[in-house]
Amino acid sequence: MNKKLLDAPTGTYRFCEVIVVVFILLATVHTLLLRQLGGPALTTEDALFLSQTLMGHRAWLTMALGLFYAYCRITAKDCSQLLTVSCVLAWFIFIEDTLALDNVLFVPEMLSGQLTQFSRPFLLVALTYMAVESRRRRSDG
Amino acid sequence: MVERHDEEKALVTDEELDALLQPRTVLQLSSYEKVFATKTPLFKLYFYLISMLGALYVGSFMIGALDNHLAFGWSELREHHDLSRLRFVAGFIMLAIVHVGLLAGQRLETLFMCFIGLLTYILVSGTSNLIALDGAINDPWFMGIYVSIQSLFILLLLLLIREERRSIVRLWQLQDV
Repeated sequence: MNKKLLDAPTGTYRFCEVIVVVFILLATVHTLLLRQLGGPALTTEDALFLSQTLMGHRAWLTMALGLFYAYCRITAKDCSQLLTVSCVLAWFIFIEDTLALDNVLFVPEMLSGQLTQFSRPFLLVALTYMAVESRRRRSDG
Repeated sequence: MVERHDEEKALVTDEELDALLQPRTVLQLSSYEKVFATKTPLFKLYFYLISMLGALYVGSFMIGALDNHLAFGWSELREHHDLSRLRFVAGFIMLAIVHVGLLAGQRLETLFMCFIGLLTYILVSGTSNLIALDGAINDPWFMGIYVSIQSLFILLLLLLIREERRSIVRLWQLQDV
């Protein structure tokens, strides 16, 4: 096992990584369930259309970034820039959902939807911490 | 006696006190001439180009010239309209941040990467929205122009990253001389 990988993160950083992994799993499961249930779960036409065009891409994006991060961690590469970009994207999508989409994609009847929505603030805080911490570590050398 | 001596030593002089009470400027902005003097000519060109195109694009949206050509023009969904408005406001904020970052003498590489991430997300989700709308996908000219405009900004940002790196190398070389 790479020494740099073992030395790298602090306890808080590892905890944040767990939060991010849990969120990715929840978001993926929720997207898959929505895809399967579709019509019955999403009550309005607009929500159905937006879910078909937006949620799938978001799930792919989340998984791609997650996998790229995992690759960087395993190979002990610098992932500070990846984390910064992911953090900015997560905040942007959050603002988009809250201000523009009025949480139209949120399905309160589904447990996976509730859990994803509940864990989102934790994801944002965790990602922000990870981005700041990784940049600090990089500048410290 | 020793304590009194330490206290006297610890006293702050008037000059030091004045220096401490001086208001500190949190953000010190330079001028474009000074900043561009440290950059490559291509950086300057790409920067002017992206600023001009960005301002034109945002301005066109503000006066409603793009209304019929964006997703809500085809779908007439309120959410699409709000989404486009938010994205154009984000574009304007990105433009402002880049200029402030440049004038503040910050390294812009990470900032450009973040914006590439955002624009790629906007391009992918915007295109998929249009593909799902029958009217838009049946107009290949429109789709081509839409994707080209979005891709142009991403391409310019990639070129700016390359020129930013070259500028730093050039600065190091100048300092060595």
